[in-house]
Amino acid sequence: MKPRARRLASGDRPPLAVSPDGYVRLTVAALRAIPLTHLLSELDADINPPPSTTSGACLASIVGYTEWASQTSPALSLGWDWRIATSGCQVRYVREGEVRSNVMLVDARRRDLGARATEVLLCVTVDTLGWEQAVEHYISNRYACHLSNLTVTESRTSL
Amino acid sequence: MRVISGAVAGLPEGYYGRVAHYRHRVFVEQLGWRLEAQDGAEADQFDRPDTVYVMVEDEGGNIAGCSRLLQTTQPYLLAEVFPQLLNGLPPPRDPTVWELSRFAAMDFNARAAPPLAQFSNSATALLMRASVACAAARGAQRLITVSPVGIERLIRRLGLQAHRAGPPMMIDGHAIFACWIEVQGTENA
Repeated sequence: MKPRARRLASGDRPPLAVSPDGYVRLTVAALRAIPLTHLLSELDADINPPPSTTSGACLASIVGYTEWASQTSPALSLGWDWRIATSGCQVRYVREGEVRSNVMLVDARRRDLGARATEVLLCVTVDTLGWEQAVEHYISNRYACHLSNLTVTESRTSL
Repeated sequence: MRVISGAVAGLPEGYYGRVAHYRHRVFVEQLGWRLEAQDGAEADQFDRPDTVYVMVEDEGGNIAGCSRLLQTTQPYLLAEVFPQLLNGLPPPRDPTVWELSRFAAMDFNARAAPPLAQFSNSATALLMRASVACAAARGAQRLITVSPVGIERLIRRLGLQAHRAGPPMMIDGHAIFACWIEVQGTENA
């Protein structure tokens, strides 16, 4: 997994630190220059079992979450929900809802952008990260047995 | 449903034992956590006279959820056992910061759904709100949790302002993380 990230000279970035409120504060540009690594992905354990069909296949809504982090110290931590969207024979992973993190984005004068603006910008960042392949690979290996028994015919959120 | 809360000495007789048994069913039997347990009851060094418990009891008198609140000015789980979850931040020691742990809301009496399919049930929401309100009444302005990562989604869906302290870590095969919850202004969310 090679996230798309622009590199800044190390002197352009103030050192990362955890604030007493637990946030790591940085600008959008600094965030996008820091590679994020896939930590784990899981299917949601609380989804209802898919109903069987007469053919023995299952109608399934496959949803889960994924966790990513930087290798920096302190670490940036981003997590989000996903669902498998299907269109014809195409299957793809799609982010679902907000990005949860320990990040507070700041402007060039180090002023907080606020929780809501940070969430929006993190969503944009995640959507350009190229995370889908890593999650698909991880989920496919981890749940190979379960997924091979499912026929995905429809996607919907169940949360 | 009704909420019961307080330190051991202030709980109705027998309730602490019921909480310990409920926690054993949830964390040891259902979730497979490796915790101290004896005679079907789960308790650790943080279950002390000053520990505050919050319980939700269903109409049949069964415990449908429980949580534990600890002052961070006294030893608490995150500081003593999982400080690495704070991403390098020293564990808080602050009378306005309380720890929320052992949060669980599994309905073992539900017929239709398995116990783990209880993520958004009413007991869960009631327990979270009651836990926040209980901490607020004792002076908390912020909570810090040690929980499975799934709790973060619950907290935010309830409209509470929260953010994680750092990345989750795999501990005994479970993804655990620490999460900050703002109490001021959100206890009635």
